[in-house]
Amino acid sequence: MLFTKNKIKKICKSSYFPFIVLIIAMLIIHVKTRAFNDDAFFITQYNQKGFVQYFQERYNIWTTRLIIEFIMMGILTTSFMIWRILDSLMIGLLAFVLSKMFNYEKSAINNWLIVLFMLMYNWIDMSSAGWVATTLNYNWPLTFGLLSLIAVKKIVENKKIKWYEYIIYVLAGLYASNEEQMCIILIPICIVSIIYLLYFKKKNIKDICFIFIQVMISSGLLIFMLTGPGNKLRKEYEIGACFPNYLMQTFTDKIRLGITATMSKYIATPNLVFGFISFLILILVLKKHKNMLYRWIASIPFLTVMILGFGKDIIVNIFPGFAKLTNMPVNGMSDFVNITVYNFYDLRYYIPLVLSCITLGCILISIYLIWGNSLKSFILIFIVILGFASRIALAFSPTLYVSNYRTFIFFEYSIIIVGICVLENLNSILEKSKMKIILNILILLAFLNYVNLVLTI
Amino acid sequence: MNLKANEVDKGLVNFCIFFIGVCISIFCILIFIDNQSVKSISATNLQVNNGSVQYYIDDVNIGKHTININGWAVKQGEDLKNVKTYIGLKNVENNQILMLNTEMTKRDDLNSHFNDGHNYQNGGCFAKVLKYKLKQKEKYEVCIIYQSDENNILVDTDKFVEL
Repeated sequence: MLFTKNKIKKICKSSYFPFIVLIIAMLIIHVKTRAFNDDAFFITQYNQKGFVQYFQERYNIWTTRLIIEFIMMGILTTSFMIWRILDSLMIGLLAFVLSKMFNYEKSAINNWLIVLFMLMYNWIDMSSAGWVATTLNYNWPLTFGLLSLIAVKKIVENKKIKWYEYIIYVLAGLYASNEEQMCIILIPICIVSIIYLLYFKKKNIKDICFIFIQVMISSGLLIFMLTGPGNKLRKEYEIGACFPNYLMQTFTDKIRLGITATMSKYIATPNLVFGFISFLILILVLKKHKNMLYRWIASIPFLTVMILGFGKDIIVNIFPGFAKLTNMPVNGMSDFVNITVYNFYDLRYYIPLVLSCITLGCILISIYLIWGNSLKSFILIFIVILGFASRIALAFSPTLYVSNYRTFIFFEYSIIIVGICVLENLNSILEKSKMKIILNILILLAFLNYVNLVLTI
Repeated sequence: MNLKANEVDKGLVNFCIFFIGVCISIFCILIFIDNQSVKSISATNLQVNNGSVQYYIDDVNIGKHTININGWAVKQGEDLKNVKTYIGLKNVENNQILMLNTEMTKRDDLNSHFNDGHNYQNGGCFAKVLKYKLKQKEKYEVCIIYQSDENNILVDTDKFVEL
């Protein structure tokens, strides 16, 4: 035995113990995963073509995600078991990073909340293009992106950054920015941080030069992405394969598609994460405000997801007209009915769009109602907007539908971040008995979702 | 008014509600305008159809407020991949073309019709135009502006619309 009984007790009491539990839980799931889809395709291509030809072709005809693909090929050509271990650790790292960023009290209970929220996420979404391909292109950039932002937080809080941390943050930023959605999240966060530090905190340029480096890295990779010949060719191919009338979509069409195709996942399907977090937001606003208008604002997202998402089948049975709001799934993705040249003059078809916008707007206003005039309000509203923008950006690509639910991860985690902060706040103001009920619901939902994962994979 | 930290500014909340409402309304109006818009284009940049584009106008339906046009167009011998096919109305007097907002429609019957191994199922097109966008008592020829797969061909259809 390496550890004595006391040492084990110490580990169990440690605030980081929840992350160890999460990693073990994820390892159990990962054991059942198999290489399929793009994973198998990439290995065959790489073995046939060799390192130089493979990456040349990838750059010239398909993608600029060369940093991600370099790591991915390293893992795929070594062993699938390596990925199982690394990805489980990566999910543990994501929990750790979320704790570093948003667990203001540094308490073990909050870390448990983070872990439970993460167990509520539908990790099956990370398998749609093959486990290795999807996680390395979505989950890892999310983790590394947030990791690189710890530097920004430390600079804002005047904390010292050790020399080796700079290397970690730069490498993390480099990897994260190689993914387009994360890149467009990181750039505005860094720019707004620079403005905040210069004008509100009166910092010197010298103190914030590291954030400038982060902006340069992300902007450089954005330019690399926009000028890469492969992305253009890929777009042409994807139009033919996935979205043949993409070129006929106008700017407003694309924005509308981005909004409805994103929000339909949260309000027109029984989405566990959104449903529970909108419930928490409602409770917190009810607790903090007596104003009826504010209470209604907070209740709209919850009522919408309960009626159109969880209660859809019952509602449609009682009120069949509601079935007209949603379309048949496109590439397995649910969507609201679209406004097209067929129906644009009929105002009924605008309901899903209006409802999507109102729901999102109510979430943003509710965040303000909870934290009022504070930096936390601003940060959380900014995070949700950026998460949402990362999904809207997909509307400018023909892969809006075919990319499936994996591209939602950034928005979903922005909502999870709000959930973590809301629950932390509830924990400090709600009576213990009531808080216990909420925690038990969270534990039950996380457990059920985990069992579902085990049964599905 | 001095606000304490974490306090809610009622005015700001009301402004946000108003702002979100205005944004949604403007966006809906933009979608409406976008869908009923007609774009005036010149025929000089378009190639004349030499028979390579096969087409058919199934239906021109003049309603109380709108005109609906339904048809299809494909280039025979080419898979239809990147669809950019618009229905237009050409003023027979001045040759001015009004390009209508057009929706691609799935036409599985086209594959069986041509039966040459190529995929034409995205060849269908549907356009709707509000009648007030057209000049009264003027004659228009229905035409197809075939820009799919980097073509740029104007197809006259010999079907006419007169209000």
